[in-house]
Amino acid sequence: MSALLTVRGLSRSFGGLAAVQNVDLEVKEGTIRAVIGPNGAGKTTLLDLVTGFTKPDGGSVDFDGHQLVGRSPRDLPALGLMRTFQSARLVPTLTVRQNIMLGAYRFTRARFLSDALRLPRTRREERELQARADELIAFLDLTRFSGSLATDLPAGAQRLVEVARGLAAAPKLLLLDEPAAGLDDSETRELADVLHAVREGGVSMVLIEHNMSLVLAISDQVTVMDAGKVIADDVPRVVREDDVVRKAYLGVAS
Amino acid sequence: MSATQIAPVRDSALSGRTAALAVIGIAVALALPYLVPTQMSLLVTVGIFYLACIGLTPLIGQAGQVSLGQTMFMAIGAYGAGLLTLKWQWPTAVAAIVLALLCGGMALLFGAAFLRLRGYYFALATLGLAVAIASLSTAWIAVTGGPSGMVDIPSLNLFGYEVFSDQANFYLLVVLGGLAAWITTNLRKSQTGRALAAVGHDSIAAGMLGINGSRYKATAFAISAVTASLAGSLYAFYLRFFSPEIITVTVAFSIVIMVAIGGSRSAFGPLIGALVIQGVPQMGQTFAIWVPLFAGVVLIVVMTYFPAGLWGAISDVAGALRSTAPSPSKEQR
Repeated sequence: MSALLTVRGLSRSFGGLAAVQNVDLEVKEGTIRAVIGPNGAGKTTLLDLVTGFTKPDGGSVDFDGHQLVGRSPRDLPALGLMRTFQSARLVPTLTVRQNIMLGAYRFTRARFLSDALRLPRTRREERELQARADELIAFLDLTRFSGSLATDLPAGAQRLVEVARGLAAAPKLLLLDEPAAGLDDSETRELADVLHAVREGGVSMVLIEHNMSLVLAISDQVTVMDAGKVIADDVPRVVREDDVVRKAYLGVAS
Repeated sequence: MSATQIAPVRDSALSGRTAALAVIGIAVALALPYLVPTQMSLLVTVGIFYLACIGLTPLIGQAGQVSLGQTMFMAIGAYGAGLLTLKWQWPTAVAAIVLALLCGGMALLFGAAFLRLRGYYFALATLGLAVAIASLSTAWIAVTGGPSGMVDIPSLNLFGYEVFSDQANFYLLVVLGGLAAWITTNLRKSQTGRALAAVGHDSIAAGMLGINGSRYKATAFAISAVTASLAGSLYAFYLRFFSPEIITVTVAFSIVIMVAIGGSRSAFGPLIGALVIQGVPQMGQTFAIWVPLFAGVVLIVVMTYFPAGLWGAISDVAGALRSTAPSPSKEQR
């Protein structure tokens, strides 16, 4: 299996603080890579560096044959890379279905004039977008929320909508920033099933997560970060037994 | 997941209810000249301001940006139409269309510069346009006729028919207003409208979906410019006269107030707003001087209690009456 995402020597400092230091990370095709670590370990900064929201001081990000450093986040959906945010960033004036239709923006071909006059091209595309959204809504068991305004939903359901919006773009790689935050145990199990099914569908994922049970249940590889550095990188079983990891991260809990 | 009932929102393109409302609206519009023959000049004015307002709705309602620049584009449409037809004998309709396109192009250029500004700075920049055009139209006497205005502007001529009477002007405005309402509704309910709403709410998250925010905002600004220019040209052809009094900064504000009062996420909202703000002064000469105060108070009440505008409030009440299921109130959103 070849690497879909290869991060080499990625670094970024804010003032005197080295938020991310010389991080290497690899995601093989069809796998889930979890990134765990205590608050302030640099997980979200790493995601921001990969997606171009923050410019790195050094290092490279190779995705599917494309160098991502220096690119605008706007270019990423077309390359097959989508991300979700730590707190769901859905459009509050749009319904769940409309939000998910917007996720497929990279496939939108009809433009202003066609939309303004509702030409056949727009009507056809609307039907396709709706069908795609309804498929994802059924897949994520969101049917009862389909016509509701996105921000009227419970927090857990909003996160699932964001996952659906990411999937609507049919990405090769989906970056998920703490998708289980604010979910209860049964919702987390639901999410684990969903992500498992997504991977079965051939989508690779980077999962930034606090919830250890979710990470251990579904990841193929785990990167542990602390104070901006990678302190462990292995399969979940090994990471769980690692003394350094226990002290730095799991130690917080025990 | 939970027992909470969440009210569904319609998202189909042209629902039966909207179509029915549109048909009723057209029937009422056609009958109005016979129902209220004494109010025709008011109806024409409402139609002209509706045109200036409806084009603002994608910008205000979706992109979340307020433009106070409508009077500038109205002025270009009006004075431009006067100049092109009087000095160079352009056909009236051609002049109106060319000026509308010119204004759209100008808005794209201004937009590229202004829309980098965040939050209320865009509104302030467009306020600058409104102030500039108000003084320019007064001071540049050689072109605009100065404070006494531009006179002898011809009536609109459509395929040999002179749109002269109040009734003819009104019907033309019903057609153009209906067309603009149809186009803005189409946009709102398409991927363009959804992308615009995403940009207006959170341009960073929209960028991560691949949406070019500044291009969408500039397009929305251009739409507002096109309808404002048309409104200006038609106003000049109707009055056969134009003066700086018609496009003061107060008017720039009142156009935005019309949109805010009526509601910017429906084609009906601006109609209510234009009727209220244009109709109230007609209630009596003595009342007219209190109009700015009235508009201000109504704006405060509407923005505080009905953030989706009067049309939004009416829709909510109608929805609540239709369904027995409790629906969450707008304020909770």
